[in-house]
Parts: sequence; C-alpha cells; structure tokens
Amino acid sequence: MRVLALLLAAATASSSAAEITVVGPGSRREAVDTWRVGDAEYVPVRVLSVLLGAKQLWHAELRKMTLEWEEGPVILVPGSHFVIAGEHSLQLTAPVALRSGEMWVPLELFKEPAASFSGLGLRWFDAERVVSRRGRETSLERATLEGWGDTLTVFMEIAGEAEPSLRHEGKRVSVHLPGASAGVGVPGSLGGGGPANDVRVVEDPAGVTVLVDLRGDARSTLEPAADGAVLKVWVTSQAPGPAIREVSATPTVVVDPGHGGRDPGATGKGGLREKWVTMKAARLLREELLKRMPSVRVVLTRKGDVMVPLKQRTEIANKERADVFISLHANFSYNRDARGMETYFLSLAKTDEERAVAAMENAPLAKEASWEAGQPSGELEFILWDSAQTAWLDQSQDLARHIQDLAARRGLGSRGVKQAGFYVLSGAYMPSVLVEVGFLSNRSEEASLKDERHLRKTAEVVADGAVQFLRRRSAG
Amino acid sequence: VSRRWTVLIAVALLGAALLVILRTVRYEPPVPGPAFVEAEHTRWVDLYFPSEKGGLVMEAREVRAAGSANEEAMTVLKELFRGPLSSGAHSLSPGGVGVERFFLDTAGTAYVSLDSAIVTDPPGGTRSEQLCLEAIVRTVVSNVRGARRLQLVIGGRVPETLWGHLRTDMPLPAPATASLLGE
Repeated sequence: MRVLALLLAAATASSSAAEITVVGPGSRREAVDTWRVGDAEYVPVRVLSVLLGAKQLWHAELRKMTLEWEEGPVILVPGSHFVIAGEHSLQLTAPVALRSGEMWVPLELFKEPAASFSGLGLRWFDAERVVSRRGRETSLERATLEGWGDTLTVFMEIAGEAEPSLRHEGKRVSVHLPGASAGVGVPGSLGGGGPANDVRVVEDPAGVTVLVDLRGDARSTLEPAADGAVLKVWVTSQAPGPAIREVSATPTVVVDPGHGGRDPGATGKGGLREKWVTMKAARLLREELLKRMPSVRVVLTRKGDVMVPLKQRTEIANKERADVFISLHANFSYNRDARGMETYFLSLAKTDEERAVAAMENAPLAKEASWEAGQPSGELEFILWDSAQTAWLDQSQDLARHIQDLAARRGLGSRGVKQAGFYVLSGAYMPSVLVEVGFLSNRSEEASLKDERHLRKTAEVVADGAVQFLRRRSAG
Repeated sequence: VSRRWTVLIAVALLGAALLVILRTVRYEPPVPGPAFVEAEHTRWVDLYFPSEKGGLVMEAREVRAAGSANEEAMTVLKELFRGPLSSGAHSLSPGGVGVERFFLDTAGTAYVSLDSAIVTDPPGGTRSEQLCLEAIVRTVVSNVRGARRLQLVIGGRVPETLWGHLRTDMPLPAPATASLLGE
C-alpha cells in the first residue's frame, strides 16, 4: 500500500530535482541527477554502492536489497523508512523507493544526523552538493581545548597517517588535515577560551581544518603528540605552559516546552494552561542550565505560544545534534489528589519477554504485508525501529533517575521514573526524557505551578539532574 | 321420531362446534413475555472507565446481543462511549463519541474507527490519555474474541497520538498487567 502510495505520489509530484557530485574511491567525481518527490530528494542506490564499494543483491522473494559491504550488509526495503547498516538501524523521514526498476534512497541518508548514525562514514557538503565517504585512513577523532588567561591549547587526536599544516594569518590560526574527515563525536564548534573568541572544526571535500579566531595578536606552534597534534597559541612572549586537563566539548541540550498554540494541553480548574506552564518552565530551565554549565548550548523547540508538530520537535534535537532532549509537560488525572513530579523515558516494551512477544505477534502481520500487499515486512519494521531506539534507553533511564532522585530529595513529590510510548521521544537519537512537572488537576499543585519560585525549584532539579548526567557521561 | 333426531343432531352439532371453539382457544400458541425475549438475546460485557481514584474500574453491563461479531463489537464500543453508570467513574469523552466502524483482521488486530469528537476538548495530560487508551483497548480485548491488539482510527486517519502524548500510529497491545486497575 505504501509502495503504491509512493508510486502515485511519484506520478503526480515527482520531478528531476537537481544534481549532486559523488566523490568515489580514488577521488573520482561523477555528476548524478537526483529525483524529488514532495519534500524528499532521492539518489539512485548505485551512489551508495559506489561509495561503499559494495555489491548489490536483490532478494525478489523478500522484496529487499542488500549491499554487501566489508562491515556487514546494508538492507534496503522499498517502502520502508528504515535502513539497516550492520549493527546500526536508522529511521528516515522518507521511505526507500522503487522507480523504473531501480532502487532510490533518500538523500537524507547522506546528511547529518542520519550520516553519523548510519555508521557508513558518509559525508555531505551542503554548499557544494558533494557526497563522499569518510576516508578510513585519516580522521580527526577528537578535538578539545583548554583556554587560560593568555594561552590556548587545542588537542587533536588523529587516527591514521596525517600531515597537519599550520597557517597563521593575522587574527586567524588554522590547522589543516588534508584528506581527513571529522570523527562522529567532533562538534562543529569547540567554543572559545584564553586568547580565542571561537574555535571551529570545518570539514570540506579537501579535508578538515581547525580554525581559531583570535581576539588579538598572538603566536602559535603546532607540536606532534603521541596520538595526534597539539596547537598552542599564546599572546605574550612567554612560552605556553603544559596542558593540565581536558575540557569536554560544548554540550547541547534541547528543551521542549510541551503543547503550544492551538494545542493548550491540560487546563486546571483555576484556568492555568499546560502550554503556559511548560513554556515558563523551559525558560527557567535554560537559565538554570546556563548558570551551572556556561559552555552548554540550550535550544528551545518553540520560542513562544506556537504549535510545533511533535515530529518536528525531535527533528530539531536531531538536527542540533543534542546530547540530551528534555520534554516538559504538566499532568492531569481524574484523581484530584494526585500530585508530584514524574519523569518518563521511552517504552518500547517493558521487558525483554514483552519485546519478544511483540516481535512474535508482528510476524503474521509481516507475512501478510510482504507477500500479499508487497509492503515491507511488519516484523522487520518492528525490529528496525526497536533496535534504533534501544541504544538510547539505558542512558535515558539514567537521566530520568538523576532527575527523580533530586526531586525526591528536594521535596517536590517524586512519583518515580516511568516508561511509556511517547511520540515525542520516539524519534530522538539521543538520551531523552519527558518530565511531568506536576498535576494541573490538583488545585493546590495548580497554584504551585503558577508560582515562579516553585517552577524555578523544579527547573533547578531538572538542570542539576541533566548536568550530573552530562558530567558522568563525559567522564565515563 | 324425526323431530327427536333433528334435536339430537342439532345438540351434537352444537357440542362439536363448542368443542372446536374450546380446543382452538386452549391450543392457541402462548404469547412470549418480554422477559423471555430479553433473556434469549442479551449478553454481559465488561467495560472499563477511568476512576476518580486515578486508575481504571470495570463495569459489567448487560447489552442487547447483536447479529454478527462486528455488530457486537460496535455495540460494546457504543456502550463504552455512552459512559459509566456507576458513580466514581468518568466518561472517556463527556461530549459523546461516534463509533464509525469496527474490523478485526486475521492476525488479531482490531481496527476501531471513531469520529473526531474524541479529540475535541480533551482533558489533557499524559495520565488521562493513558487511561483513555487503556480503557478502550481493555474493553475491546475483553469482549471481542480473537482481538489481541487495537489500532485506533480517528476521522478516517491513523493518528500519531490521541491527545498529544502517546503513540497511536501503531497497534496498541493488550495490557499485560493490571497496573492501571486502581492506583
């Protein structure tokens, strides 16, 4: 059915969209036409097989294609939003498509964040519309900085044979790694410190460059290290001191104020609306996070009283490559006495046994779908979706526990850590939780949620929980 | 003599006529009483509603038995959305909800199509949404033979969520535990 819908959509709304350049093995470049269906842009599957050096195998009975690659098969099913690559599975916003007997994959697979999560080492350069694959030979695996007073030290952990070069022009220092790629965990911006306003990592088809924008004149050296190179920049003539400790890269927290616009959420007897509570709580949480961790980047999924679709909220978090996603809500119960704070993380199925049962129960659906209607297997859909989410569950649970432990200790009435199948958490590729800050159905708690002091106390608990979690994760 | 015979024949005919009339009256089929009809064509169903204690309560209700299995399921759902009769229980949607269609596939997935009244002016909140969904799923699974999971359809479309929180874009399984039965 979905395939049929896709074909119908293709017949009515498709067009040859544009061109991309594929940089394959040996830097061979090839121009390839893309195909646009609605908002989705597609490339032929051969682009993927060329980049991976993979052989295409079509399994007619199972209606799926595998690309035999050195690190495991890549499985593509027409009509499915999932792509499975070795141990990674990925949910795309557009499905894999069949067109004129050829398989087409959404260009989204080559872009961030999908490219990072696929584990295929794909790279997309938006300005140039170039797609390539991360060279296995050289990569900047990690970049951290330390800035104190007049000195700045940038540690670059490099995998493979690298010949970094240093350029110093005026107020800009750059270290270029030709032909290298940036590792998955390397952020675009490392922040500032010491004599530097900003330190950025820029990746383009030519390689990776670490760019340092200085506040004033300074001197710089590039020194080899056991696992890479160290850039040192200092303002005065004094030689830079030794590195003392590493500072982790700037974390990003995406805060999602629930509901908004024409969706008010729950409304208390006193007229307090959930969308107002969540917006206020989100702003306070941002303040409290910044107080505790000045280097943190906090992004709100909505800025005012506007309706943001649920899917878009996690898309924002994925696009921002958030380290943590926190959705804020206020609860409502038929029990007027229910009160307190509770934190949820995503429930796929509560126990392994339930998951096995769920998978088993999908089997008959799967057979019907794949054999009769030509749809992707329901069982496969379930397994792919399940494995895509499972990776983050333990960390999400850990984050939820940090928050609820603090809520209990600080007298906010902890109702504990819970699991449920929240739509807003199901598309997030990072540790994610949904915090219910209190019950609007309880008259006294509604009054508390109106009170900024109470909401600030709640925001402090969530901020402390998130910061504890981030620190523990970066240390571990 | 002839006069005597005439009288005898007349008496015999009158007696026979009376006998026929009396037998006809005596053997007229009995008219069944209303209680008899009800007993033959009703069944008991278990309906689940949110309770004021914060969980779900079960209400047993006698409903008129319908013809096909699908019609029976429609009847059960209509009773559910009529709301509870017992005090201390809440209606899933005080404004009423129209049940448009019901279909059970061979894999045990029950498709329940409701009109969009169910998303008009909801109470909001995760807890009430959880209870509403679980009340529908439990009611269907308890009363429809072969139903193991439920796919909600609202206004002709599979919704992402019911009231903005929990996923309803895939079939909801039968609750494995009684966690929501009372709180």
